[in-house]
Amino acid sequence: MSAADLHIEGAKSGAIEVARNRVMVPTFLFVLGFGALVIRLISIGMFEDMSDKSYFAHSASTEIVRERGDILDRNGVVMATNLSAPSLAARPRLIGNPAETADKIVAVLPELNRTRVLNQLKSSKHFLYIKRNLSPAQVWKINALGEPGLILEEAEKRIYPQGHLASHVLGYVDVDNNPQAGVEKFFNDHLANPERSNEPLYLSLDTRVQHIVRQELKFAMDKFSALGAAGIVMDVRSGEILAMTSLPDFDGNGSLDPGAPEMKNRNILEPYEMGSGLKTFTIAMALDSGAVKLSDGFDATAPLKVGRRTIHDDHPKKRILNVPEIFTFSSNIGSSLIIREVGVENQRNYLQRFGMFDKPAIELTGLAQPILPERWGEIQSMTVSYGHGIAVTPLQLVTGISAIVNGGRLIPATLIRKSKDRDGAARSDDYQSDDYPAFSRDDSYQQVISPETSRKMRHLMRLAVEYGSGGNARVGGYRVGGKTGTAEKVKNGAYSRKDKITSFVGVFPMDNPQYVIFAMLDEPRGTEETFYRETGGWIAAPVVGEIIRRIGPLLGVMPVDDVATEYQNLILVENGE
Amino acid sequence: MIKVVAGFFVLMVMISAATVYSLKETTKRLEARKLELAAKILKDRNAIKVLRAEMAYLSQPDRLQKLSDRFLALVPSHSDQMVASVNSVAGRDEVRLVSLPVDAFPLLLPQEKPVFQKRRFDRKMHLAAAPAAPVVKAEKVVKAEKAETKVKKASFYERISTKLGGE
Repeated sequence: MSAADLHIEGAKSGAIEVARNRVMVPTFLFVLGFGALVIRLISIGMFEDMSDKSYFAHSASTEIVRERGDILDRNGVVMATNLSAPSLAARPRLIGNPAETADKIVAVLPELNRTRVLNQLKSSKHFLYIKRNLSPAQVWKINALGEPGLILEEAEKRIYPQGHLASHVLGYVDVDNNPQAGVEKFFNDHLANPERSNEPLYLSLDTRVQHIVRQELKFAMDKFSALGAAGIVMDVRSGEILAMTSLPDFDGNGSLDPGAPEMKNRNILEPYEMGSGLKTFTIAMALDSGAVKLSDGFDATAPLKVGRRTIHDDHPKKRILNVPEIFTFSSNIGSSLIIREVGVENQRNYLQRFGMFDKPAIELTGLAQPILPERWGEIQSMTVSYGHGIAVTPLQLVTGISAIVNGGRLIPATLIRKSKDRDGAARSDDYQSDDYPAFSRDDSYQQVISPETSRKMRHLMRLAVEYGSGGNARVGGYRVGGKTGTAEKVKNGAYSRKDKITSFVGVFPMDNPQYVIFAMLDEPRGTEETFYRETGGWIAAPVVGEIIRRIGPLLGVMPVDDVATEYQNLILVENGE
Repeated sequence: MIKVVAGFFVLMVMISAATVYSLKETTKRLEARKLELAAKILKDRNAIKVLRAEMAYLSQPDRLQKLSDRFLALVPSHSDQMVASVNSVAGRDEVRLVSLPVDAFPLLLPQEKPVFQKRRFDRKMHLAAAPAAPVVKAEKVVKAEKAETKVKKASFYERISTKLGGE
């Protein structure tokens, strides 16, 4: 056949035309359909809103939110934290075999009574709690039982990993995580704020120092059968409290009785008559006001009769004593005579400036008012000069002593870590200076005594340890200064000869004071080792000495060679001193 | 020509539509993965919190001290072991540090004989929950050295005398 045969003509060509048109229609429809699909695809991709499960909108949070924030020590050691501690509950109606389930539960939680659990599981209630606050390991085991009738209900528990350590500073929370005392209560606004849940509260405490103070105090308390003890370590340059212990203490994790004696923080809650420790303030105000010079002599040959009372010396020298000797040998007669020179009004002004008339300033709740004489006559002024008739809390004494040695600036005590900025001045990132007096600027601290008086007092305190009653606080390599205090306790309205409060407030190193260490024992009983004496020099001074021996190297305080103390020549040392 | 151009554009539109679609699917998958990871991070953070609490519990100073007393031959550092200045370790009042400019090795140049002063805190009452580090007595070492040299001298004298006696 030739090619011409393929050519279609005439009527046949019309049929092909029809066929072509018929193909065009579905093609057009297909294009239309696919076009619509493409347009829809583009519109979905570009313009359509995301569905309800819009992933961009709530990007998943990776922050844990807890009911209460953590409390850390100055080095970041956890002191209090909230952990998830689910409660075990049951739906008894869903439990097929109560006896078997009870066996399994008791195997995981051995402290539960099997009979009781069995009765609970057999009961007709819809829902009941079996145990609160499971540990993570227990939660895992309960889940592994695979029992549908058991439910783990989400709950949180406040944990104090350090146990007894610093329990008085931290305070505690009740079953519903409401703060009841201590830092927990004072900083509740911060700790209970969910938005600041991941901002831990850094305390100024140092767990290691706290441990050492607590251990030494506990050792001494057991050794001298004392009722209680208290101790503070404070940084004199910033007012930070490195350790604050009150014994007996409690464990915040256990069940607590708010009225029990161990719940009381002796450092802030109870004013004590401090005895000779107050002589430090008497001498400081006498020197600062210019009423008395260091070389002035005062007649301490015989007990001093004022009105109907007689003032005795505990270690009578029976001669004329100068000011360093009065301080070093802790002469009551001498300090009474000195305060007579200073005057009652002056004494009151100075004591007020040292903060002895107000509550102690610190971030804790339940602070005690000091007990002051009802009227300030000459005799009251004299007893106050050697620490009787006035009762202040240990914290006030420590704050005052640190003002005496640090150059005369009264820096309020604080429990919050201060960060040092480039100039070395302390400041806090977290808190406004208006809220907390301790965070005011460096130059705004009140100058209570002159730097020159402060320098003299440092030497006097050094002498009291070198030659005076505080000799047991000496530590090789460190220049320790301090003042002992012994006061008889008031029992049934009269001073008891037997029951005493012995204390020692030490400062080290004396040439550049860094830390004030305070130790106090309540009603100690002398032992053979102390020759049955219960004075601050024999009971409390060795405790402070041991604390300094242990924390000195820890805090990086460099030991120095012995340097002669000033005013040494003013002291006539007798045998046995 | 127009057909080619139109075809090209249709193709481009289809490709870009497919790209947008697949991009969106990928994003969805990534978002799902992100959610998964966030849940995991949260779980890990919870675990870290528990572990930190447990670490604080296990490293209670009281417990560490007991364990250290039992298993380690270490004692707390003593102030005698800290050196504030070269003089205090040399036992001499005057010590000069010399070093040549080329090297960085300072040498101690003694100016006098060492005198180790006796510490005057020995008669102190000791009251401590934790025992102090034993203080290394430097004087004893010095005395022992002196004793040794005496022995050596004596033997030398003896040797001479025996030699003389022998002749």
